[in-house]
Amino acid sequence: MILTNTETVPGYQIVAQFGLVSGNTVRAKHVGRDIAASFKNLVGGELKGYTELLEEARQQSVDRMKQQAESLGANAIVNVRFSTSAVTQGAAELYVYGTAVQLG
Amino acid sequence: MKFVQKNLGEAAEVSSGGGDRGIAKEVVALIALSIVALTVIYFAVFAVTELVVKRLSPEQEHELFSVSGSFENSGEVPDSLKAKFELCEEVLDKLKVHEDVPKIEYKLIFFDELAPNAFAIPGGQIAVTRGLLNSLDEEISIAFVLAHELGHFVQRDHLRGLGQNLGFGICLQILFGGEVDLLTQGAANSVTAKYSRGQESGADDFGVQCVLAIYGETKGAEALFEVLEEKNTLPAWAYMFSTHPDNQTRIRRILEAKAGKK
Amino acid sequence: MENAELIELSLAYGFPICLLIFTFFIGRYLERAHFKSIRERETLTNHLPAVPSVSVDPDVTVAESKLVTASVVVSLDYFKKFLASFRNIFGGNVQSYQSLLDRAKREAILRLKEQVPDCDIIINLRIMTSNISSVQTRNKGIGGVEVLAFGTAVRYQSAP
Repeated sequence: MILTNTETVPGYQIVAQFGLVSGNTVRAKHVGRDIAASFKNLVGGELKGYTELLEEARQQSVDRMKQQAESLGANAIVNVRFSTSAVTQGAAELYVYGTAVQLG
Repeated sequence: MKFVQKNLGEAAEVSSGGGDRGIAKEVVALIALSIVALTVIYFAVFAVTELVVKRLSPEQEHELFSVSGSFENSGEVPDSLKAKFELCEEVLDKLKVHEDVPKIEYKLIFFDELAPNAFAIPGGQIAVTRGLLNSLDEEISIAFVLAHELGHFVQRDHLRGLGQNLGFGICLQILFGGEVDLLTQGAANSVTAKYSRGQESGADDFGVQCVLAIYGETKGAEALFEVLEEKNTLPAWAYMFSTHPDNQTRIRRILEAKAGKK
Repeated sequence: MENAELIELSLAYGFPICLLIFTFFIGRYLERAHFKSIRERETLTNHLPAVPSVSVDPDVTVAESKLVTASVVVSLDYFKKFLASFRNIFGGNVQSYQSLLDRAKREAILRLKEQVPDCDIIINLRIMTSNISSVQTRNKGIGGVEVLAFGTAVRYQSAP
């Protein structure tokens, strides 16, 4: 499965497109991470715990999207878009969508 | 790019959360996690309080809490109950010479509440309510109530209770970010209440021994609880959430304690 | 006095528990009904694709293209909110929000498609989620999430 965020896959010809595929994950951080992050907030820098959490959740979303594309018989997803939003305090939604296509 | 119409079928539901099964899984997982978390917190708070109580002598404790101010429902003793309040003070003076009672200064205070109740307050204060003074007539029943409260001082229960409430308060604050839900607060209360019931029975046992040692009899104590029993309308299940063991259990324990002593 | 205690107890524990059970069944019924409607309408609009890509079939001529937008604001029920608040302590996937947002996304795309039934494709599709609940008070307030979908609807020249 080839994923791109461009209109086409360079070097390939798109023969058919099957429509929208998407994956969605809502994940919450836990209290322990919260406490660690509040200390980290004093000195600044990367919140490793949060980066990891969001990365994991995003991967799950991508897997779900791929699952949809596979069931359509596609072998690539083009124009992939990510969107992250806070749906409530402490929980983030990782949404990913793209166009399932058949490469020639 | 030619569009080919296809049906997603089952794959359309990959992000929908698994329906009823998903929710059932979620509920089970959350209940299990909550039980684990509560158990860990319970034992942690228990251990920390136990450690502090062991290190703090009654004298230190008395000093620490001697500055305690007035309570919102404490008040002047009304004239009609003055004689009985003074009787209580006399009884307290008699009881506190018992060898196990920590030798600190005890002070009796009055709470203007209708429910018959008494409280042991850190720093050597014992509060009695208007309702209690109203319903007690005999010296021996007053002696049992006060000896029971002294029992809490002997076991340092008031200090443990304070520490545990503080501990649970802090834990809940961290977990729920200052917005303690009614349900979770109720859960925490029933946890501390369950522990307090063991302490109450211990205080009962001490009370019986103390009264027996000083007055030589415990007849009034049973009478007291039999009076309370008649007024009692709370169903048995509600005692899960209540601090004191139910009166039947207390009477039985008193009789057992007496039999053991003789 | 004991009666008052009993009433207090049943108010403190009984009311939230009853509300939880009540909202669980109502919420479940509404969600099922919504999913059923979504699935039916998805089958009906399956011929009209909405994709993030921008290119159209090279063999056709375009008669018309226009911007279309559609949005949905959804909210959690009491039971799911309760579950979510617990999930916030332990971390992990928030199952109760998962189905809600999935419904909202699919509903928004469906509304987009239903606006332009005579068009052949919606291109450059964008989907956005934003939290519109009041943020000052956690768990209180009205918790709402808006899903906005927009794209360019294209109608092909009908074959001569």
